[in-house]
Amino acid sequence: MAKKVFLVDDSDLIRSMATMALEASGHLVRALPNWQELDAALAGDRPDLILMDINMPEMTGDFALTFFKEERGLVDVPILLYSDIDEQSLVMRAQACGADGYISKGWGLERLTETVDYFLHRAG
Amino acid sequence: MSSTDNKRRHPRISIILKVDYASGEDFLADYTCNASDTGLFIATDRAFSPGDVLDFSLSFPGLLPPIQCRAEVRWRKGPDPAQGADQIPGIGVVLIFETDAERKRIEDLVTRLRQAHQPSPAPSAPSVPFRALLAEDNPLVREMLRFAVRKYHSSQIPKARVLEVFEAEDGQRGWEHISQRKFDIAIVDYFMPVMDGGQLIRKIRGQTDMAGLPIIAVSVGGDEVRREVYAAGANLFLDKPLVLNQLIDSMQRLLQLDRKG
Repeated sequence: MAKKVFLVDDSDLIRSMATMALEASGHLVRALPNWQELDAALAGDRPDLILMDINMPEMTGDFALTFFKEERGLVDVPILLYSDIDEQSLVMRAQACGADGYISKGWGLERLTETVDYFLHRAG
Repeated sequence: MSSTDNKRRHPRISIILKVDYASGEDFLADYTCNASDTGLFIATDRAFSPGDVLDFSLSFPGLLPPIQCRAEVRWRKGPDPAQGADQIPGIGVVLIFETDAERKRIEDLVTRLRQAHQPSPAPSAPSVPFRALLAEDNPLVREMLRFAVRKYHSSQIPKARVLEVFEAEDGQRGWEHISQRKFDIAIVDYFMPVMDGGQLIRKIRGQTDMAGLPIIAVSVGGDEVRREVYAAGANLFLDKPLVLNQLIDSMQRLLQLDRKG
């Protein structure tokens, strides 16, 4: 059965490319441009996994990740930081904010889908 | 002397102060985020070069009167996209002292700031609520700010001091809150309807009994807004997007200095 993936990124291009890749991999994707739309989406739907960009308007992705995990009951939902910052910083920020993992945009779309599949499989 | 020896002899403390450059039309308020009694790191986007000599004053509005300083720029870093968006661009400066009195003023300042970073004893009136004002027009961002304040409160403030958060969707509502009760901290967004953050901060600073209220201004407005809010009397400006740890850390430092100052 297809899994639901929420992707939050303010870049139209990234949303479009990542959505294509993840849909091609058999997932249902909701691509959201900001935190308000994520919040609204969560009110009526529960994803199996969330990808969050770091450099977003208002709050960084790692701030939002901690907030949504704790305040919207998403402790059991894997949330991954998805960013183009250097990998060392990405690892540190993912650990510090309580992310389940991270994906560097520099890894490419194939590894994006592989990593998402890995976390979805692990979550059951 | 090696860098390690230098750090041992002049331990660095991380602190946020306001920096006003002396050149009038070039006025730009920056802040230091690291200080020892020999040098400072000044966060700035300006194109200073190693060897430039700067005249500026350091202050902490409402808490610390301005101290005049002269310093030589030794190095400059960033912005470096490879280091991530939170990598702060700025300059390292070494202070120049022309008299022993100038040296002593800075040493006293650093000593005082260092003391302010020691663990604080519990406040003497534990039954007084810990009150925070959040002025921000975006409801979700307000909720996220409240989340950060709760995190700060639960880790730093004795449980006996109950947290009370007052929220305002514009500056006018913020002013109504603040004129009715005493607050421990205010976090103020700049772009708000009815009354913007700059006007609200100016109004707060216009009241003598609120001169010492720690105020963190936040905005997407960059240097232009940073100038405006510092001129209005904010203690600290944080660029949006906000980083949770930076926000909590900033609250901690402002409030430690406030309690001990």
